[in-house]
Amino acid sequence: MLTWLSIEARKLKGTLVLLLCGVAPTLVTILVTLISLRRPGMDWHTVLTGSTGLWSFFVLPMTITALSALLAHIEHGPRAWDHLFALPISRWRLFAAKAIVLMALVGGMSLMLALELRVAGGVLQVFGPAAAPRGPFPWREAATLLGEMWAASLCMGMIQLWVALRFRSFVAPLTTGLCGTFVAVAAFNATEAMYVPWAMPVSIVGADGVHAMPALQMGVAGGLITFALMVIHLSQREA
Amino acid sequence: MQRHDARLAVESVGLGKSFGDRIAVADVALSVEPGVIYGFLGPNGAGKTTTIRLMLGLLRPSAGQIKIFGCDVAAERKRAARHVGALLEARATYDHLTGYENLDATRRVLDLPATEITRVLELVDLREAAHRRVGHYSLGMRQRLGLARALLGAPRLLVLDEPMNGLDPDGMRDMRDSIRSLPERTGATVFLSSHLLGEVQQTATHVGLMHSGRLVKQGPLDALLQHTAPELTIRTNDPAKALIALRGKGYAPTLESQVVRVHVSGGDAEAAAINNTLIGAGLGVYELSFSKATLEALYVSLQNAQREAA
Repeated sequence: MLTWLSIEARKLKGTLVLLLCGVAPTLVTILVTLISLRRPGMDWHTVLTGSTGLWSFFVLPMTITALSALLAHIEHGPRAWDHLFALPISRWRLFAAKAIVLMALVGGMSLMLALELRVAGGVLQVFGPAAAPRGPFPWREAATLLGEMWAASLCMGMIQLWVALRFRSFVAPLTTGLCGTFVAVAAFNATEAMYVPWAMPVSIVGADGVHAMPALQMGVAGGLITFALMVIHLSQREA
Repeated sequence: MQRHDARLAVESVGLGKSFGDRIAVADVALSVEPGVIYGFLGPNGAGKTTTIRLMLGLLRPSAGQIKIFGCDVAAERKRAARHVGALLEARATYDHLTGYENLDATRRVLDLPATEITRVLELVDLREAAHRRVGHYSLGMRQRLGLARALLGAPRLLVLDEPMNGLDPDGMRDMRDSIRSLPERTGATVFLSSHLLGEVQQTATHVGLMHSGRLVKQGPLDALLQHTAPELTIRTNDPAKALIALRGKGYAPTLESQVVRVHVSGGDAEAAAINNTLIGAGLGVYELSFSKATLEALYVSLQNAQREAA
């Protein structure tokens, strides 16, 4: 499996995937920094809640949509499936590696967001101390929030990847992601939002965290079930 | 009950594949001896690609069985695939990676030593371009990279699907030379699918002809051509009138660049009779010569026979 993971990682070299992974958390950091400049004196808890809310509400679902489509397109683009499927390999490893890489990239982006927020706070301390968030950076809170959001996004990630790997056209995963995000936005304040995979990450911080645990549990359980179904379906279907 | 022969590189019995109501291939009985270059011919839509996909385990047969060196592809896909290297689509390479990196991805999946890459690059004469991005390769270089990838692990059977598609004359010659030398240099059996009859005639030792999803003929190329009616080339002062005269005698002549061609099976005597027919029709005959039997002639005659049977 490690061989497959390293091959998948190598395929990312020179693709838009890595650029997207850098841009998405940076956009959130820039936006939150601008907000801090307009509303000076916020503490780190407020900044962190706001930035992770923005991240999980919109940026994370859209980034997972684009990432899964790009990961699948590495094979769809050159029609590489036939070559891969003709090899004496266990096909499930290929799909499992894609899923692990997707979630590793999402995890990496979450980590990058935390680091960038800390760096942005430090920069504000130097160049605009009045706007800098008060107190020490809450590493534990950041790790918990972003970690739970990452885990809760597993179900959404697996659905998006399944659609992206199944259909050659970009349209299918993009439409799925847009519709899912739209439903998540529309259902944000409803209790039922925690059942919508695209709203599970934001449920970690939404409604004062009341739905955090059910959303986390459903995100992880739903993600693992979807992962298993995806691997079985894609491995067994005719190429 | 027909028996599979484990010595054969490829053997199928009653192989069929349907997509809904549409029958793509039916009752295909391939028999490919080890060490040969087997040209798999047929027009677009004849079922060549479907048969290859069944051979590689990319599709499951609706009927029958196909075996690679005795391994049933449907029941033992991985075991069968260990014997096979395939070049299916020239562009099935990662353009953002170098040729070396493309080969390395497959090499690592197959758990082969790194020296294997150097070996296959040398076989296809692509060593100097190995560290360039594939996006900057010509189509001919991509085809050779695809061939190199198929050769990784020294498979006993090479399946090449339209490897000369889109190549310029130099690229075609290079690819033809590479393919022709493969059985001797690597010991592999080559299964070459193409619709370029002239190219296959220069490359293959054996052929199989597909038509409307069925394998209508297969065997050693020389033996098949021996049974093909040779072609008589005729130049006259009025080719159009010559066509009419020959049709009147029941022939099916063709006209190309003012030259009339007709298949005859009666040798010199029949050529003399045709000459008399043309002279009798008031034509001046400048040339009357036999050309060597071609794969194209064989193919056309088989196609005509199929149409008549239908």
